[in-house]
Amino acid sequence: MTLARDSVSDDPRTLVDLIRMRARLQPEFVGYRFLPDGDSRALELTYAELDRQARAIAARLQSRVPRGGRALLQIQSDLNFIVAFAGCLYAGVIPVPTMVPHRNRPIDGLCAIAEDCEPDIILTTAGILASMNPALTTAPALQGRPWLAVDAIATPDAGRADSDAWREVEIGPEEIAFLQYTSGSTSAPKGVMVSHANILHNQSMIRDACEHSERTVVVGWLPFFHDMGLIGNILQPLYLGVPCTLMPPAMVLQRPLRWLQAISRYRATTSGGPNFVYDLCVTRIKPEQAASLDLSSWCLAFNGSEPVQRETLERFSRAFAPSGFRADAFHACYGLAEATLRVCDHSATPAPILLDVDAGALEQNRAVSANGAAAVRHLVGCGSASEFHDVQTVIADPATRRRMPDGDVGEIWIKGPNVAQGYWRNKQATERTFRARLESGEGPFLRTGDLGFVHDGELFVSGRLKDMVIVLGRNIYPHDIELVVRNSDPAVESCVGAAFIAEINGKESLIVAQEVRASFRRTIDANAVRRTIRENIARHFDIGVQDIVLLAPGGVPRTTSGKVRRRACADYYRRDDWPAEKVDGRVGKAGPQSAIEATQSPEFDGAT
Amino acid sequence: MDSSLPTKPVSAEAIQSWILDWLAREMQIPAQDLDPSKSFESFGMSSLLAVTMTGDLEDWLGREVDPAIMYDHPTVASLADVLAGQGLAGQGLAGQDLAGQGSS
Repeated sequence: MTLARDSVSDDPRTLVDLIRMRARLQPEFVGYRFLPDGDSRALELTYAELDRQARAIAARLQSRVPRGGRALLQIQSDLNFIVAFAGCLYAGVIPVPTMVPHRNRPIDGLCAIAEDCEPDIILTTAGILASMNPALTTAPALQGRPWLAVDAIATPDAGRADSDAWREVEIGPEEIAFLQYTSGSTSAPKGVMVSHANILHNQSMIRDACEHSERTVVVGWLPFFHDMGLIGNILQPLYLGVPCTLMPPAMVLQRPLRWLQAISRYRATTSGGPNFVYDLCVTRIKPEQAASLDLSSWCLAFNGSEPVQRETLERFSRAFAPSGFRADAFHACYGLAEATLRVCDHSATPAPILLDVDAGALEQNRAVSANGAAAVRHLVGCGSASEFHDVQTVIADPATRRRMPDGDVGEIWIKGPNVAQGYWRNKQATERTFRARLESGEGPFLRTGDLGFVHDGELFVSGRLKDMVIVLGRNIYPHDIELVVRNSDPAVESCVGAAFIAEINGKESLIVAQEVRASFRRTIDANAVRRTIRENIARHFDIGVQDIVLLAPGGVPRTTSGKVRRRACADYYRRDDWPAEKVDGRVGKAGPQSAIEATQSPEFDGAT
Repeated sequence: MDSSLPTKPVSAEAIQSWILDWLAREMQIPAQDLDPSKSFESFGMSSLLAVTMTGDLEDWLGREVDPAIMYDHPTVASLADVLAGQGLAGQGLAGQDLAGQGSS
């Protein structure tokens, strides 16, 4: 395929340059088409209109927000988001994309971000202003900060006066373009500072790794506040100057058929999402619906931001082969906000590279062939580990900081122009994560926190260094979940617990193992405690927990220094054999009767 | 959605029993453990699963259902009531909700 290098021949230095260039070269081109219902109704945005609306918003911002100020974006994933984002850039104001909480949902995540970035203004829409949670305006982090509805400024029929009032600002490529908050710990969110140069460099990496060209057609549904949605779905088509059709995430999650119909209707070549959405398509789309689709144009089905499951690839390929889907369209990729988005080049082969390794050896940090192994892990390669666009990927021993040989599992470290500038106003975390050096002194490297290894030149991601729980494309810290769990009931208060991921039927599932206080062993209503824990996890993290195991004291495996061994928990769970007696059977399978039996068993006392 | 399905007025009781069956099946919770007056959250339901359920509800009811409807009607009983009411009022209400969600 021809690479579209010519299409960016005058080499934009910033995103503003890029948008201005598109508006100049392709003014009437519909860069963005938005399907509000996920069906046929479409709203369109040309590059000229994007430029005009961005100038109008920028002019308004320039009169109220200092250069380098922050604008929190409280806008759904729609065209308003795109013009507001561009408007901030035009004004030299730093946009901070955030999720819009439903009026009945918790706002603490948003408030923590606002507290960290101290926005000068909150950009939103008239619709959100009318229906939002009133607690948002009075929350200490947001109190007294102005809210501005961008759809009131950037209407298609607004006069030229607004956009003409914009004064062009000098922006350097090293300046921060936007802050990408990682969906991590709610208590201490970290805003990744992504520069214009970072983004443009990463755009060239994405273009070449995906073999994109001027014939690329993108369909996207990922949330715009998510790095893969913003960098991959919104900015890459702009970079290429190719058509992009977007739809609200809720419309796709409600009816995944809408996503594949859009691919079919608009003849998309590039589209994708986290692993779970492919599973969702397989379970929710009926064969007769699949038969009505034509997916033959789809040559790059990217799968990233959560572990790629081989079974998912196989199931999806089988289910949609009758629709013209080709298995080698699957494109497993690896990325993180701290590296702007994308890290690696494509794999050496067109189809994903599959590898079976010995699960036991992998726990010992060695990747060896699964021949004859008792337990096997199926891994999917996520790109070439060779240097790519000046980006170096190495595997380092997180303790000794030595570079590790191929086949050894270590932490993935990255160095290159795509590595972001650090965390917003957080020197300590920036130093720790962005300024790592190998024992040899080479660096600085970005520590990804991901564990992986290189085999035959291909990068395989095998887990998380810090036992991060990755569910539905979100990174959640296990200690956050554990805290919520042990605050759920007096019977588990101050007791040790572990939140971890175990693979169940080819699906990564969240499991909680929680010790129960000895004094409660005769009185505990185990089912009620588990119900409360489930409810609290759903409320705080919006995820379902697959299983909750209640254990006698000493039941959660720990190191000699008392640290919870979360990765070992998955093993104990699989074997259903814990260091101490279970207080009860599994959720939904054991009635209260068996709970009483378990708490009264002699082994329980023995284990305490 | 499958437009060949007719819009049918369905009673709140029928909708409630459909929802309880769906939850029991998808979440592998014994039906007798599901209290219709309790919130979906109390069963440990994530919003992804909630949105998924609205898709299946659309199929079954033959009309549009706001993917965020369960945030406003967070129990089985209240959701069944509002859906039954919308069914009687025709498709207008559900359609409006949906447009509000999609294009703010």
